Amino acid sequence: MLFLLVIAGLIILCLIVFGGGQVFMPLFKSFWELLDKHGANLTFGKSGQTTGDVIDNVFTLSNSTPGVTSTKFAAFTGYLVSNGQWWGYLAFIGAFLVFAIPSIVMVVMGYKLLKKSQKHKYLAKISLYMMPVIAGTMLALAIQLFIGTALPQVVFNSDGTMFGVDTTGHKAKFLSGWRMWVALAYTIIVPFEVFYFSVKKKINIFYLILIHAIIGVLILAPWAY
Amino acid sequence: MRKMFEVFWFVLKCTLVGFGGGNALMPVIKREAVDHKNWINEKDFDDLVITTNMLPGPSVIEALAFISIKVLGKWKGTLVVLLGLLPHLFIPLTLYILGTKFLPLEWLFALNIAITPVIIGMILAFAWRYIVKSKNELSWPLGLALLIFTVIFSLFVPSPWNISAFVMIGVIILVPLIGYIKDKRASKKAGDK
Repeated sequence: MLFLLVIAGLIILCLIVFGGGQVFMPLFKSFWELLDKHGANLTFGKSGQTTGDVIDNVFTLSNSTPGVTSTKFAAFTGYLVSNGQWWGYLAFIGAFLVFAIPSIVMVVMGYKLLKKSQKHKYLAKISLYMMPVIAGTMLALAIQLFIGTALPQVVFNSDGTMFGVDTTGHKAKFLSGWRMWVALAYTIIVPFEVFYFSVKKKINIFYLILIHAIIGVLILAPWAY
Repeated sequence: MRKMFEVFWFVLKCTLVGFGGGNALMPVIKREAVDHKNWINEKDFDDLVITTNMLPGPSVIEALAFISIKVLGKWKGTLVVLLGLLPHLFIPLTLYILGTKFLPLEWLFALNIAITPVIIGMILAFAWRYIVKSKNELSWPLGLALLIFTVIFSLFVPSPWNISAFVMIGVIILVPLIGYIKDKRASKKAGDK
């Protein structure tokens, strides 16, 4: 029963949710709480830990590590329902597959459909008008990432709040005092510098990321926190 | 076999630097798959970005899977992309199991802040390319209006309703409709003469 619920839930989530990880978070939270009610023991019976703690922990770790956030949530679902038994790792991989495969099928079919539509007289021009829409989407994303990175105490259009300040978060506390100013300056300067080195000088993006990972961690000095 | 490893390495690299999620990774994917490897041309990549934004599901997986399948074929491509996506998932799992004693959260935050501005720079360059494209191919007041509308929509419509798929659906409905009406009017005028 729980097994079917996990599989059905993951497929439904994959099929209904658009966009990035932030959008998936409330849905996975409800999904995990539902599983908890139906016999899954998310805390693995560890004392001093509530289901809410487990969910917060998974969110923080998934959001602060690189990669595809929603997929991490999906894979975690498999692990969390295993009650700490050995097959938890297999369930982790299984849940990932259940979540990823429908989207792979969808993109192949969706792309074919788009290509077919471009042969049609009135639909052919759609791609052209999508260019400014993509540009706008990316500009808005750059602004959102800037706020999320340099100003973690600012709540902007999430969880039903359009604009607010929350200094209680772990990340906001880390970025208080001198680190706030360093992070702010770094987040303003680096995009332009990257624009120059990556577009004009054609330096490999992965080297640029590696170099900045080292510089950024050095100037923020997390060991001194 | 060599090609399979190349694609696997590409998927692995993209996920390991992928801070910011979703569309934030598109510029990195484009740089590698279009500019360096020539696995997919620019026009097809633009269509891929549109497709993944219109479709539900994780757009990074969709984009990487599409490119992998294009290079390696249906079965091999799916297998390689799934294998390439797997390793990065184990980073948060390992931290969850071990606790954050070995790698305190502050280190993860610092790493996040260190890398995200690089991604922002790539995003700006990526957006710039689309701005130039739309300036060349559309009348500029229309392009600018669409751009500003999308930015405001994405920023200020309450989440999760601010996804660009809604703007895109609007474009898909309005562009053919206006094209059709214009044609009708033109043929009417021609008929009057």
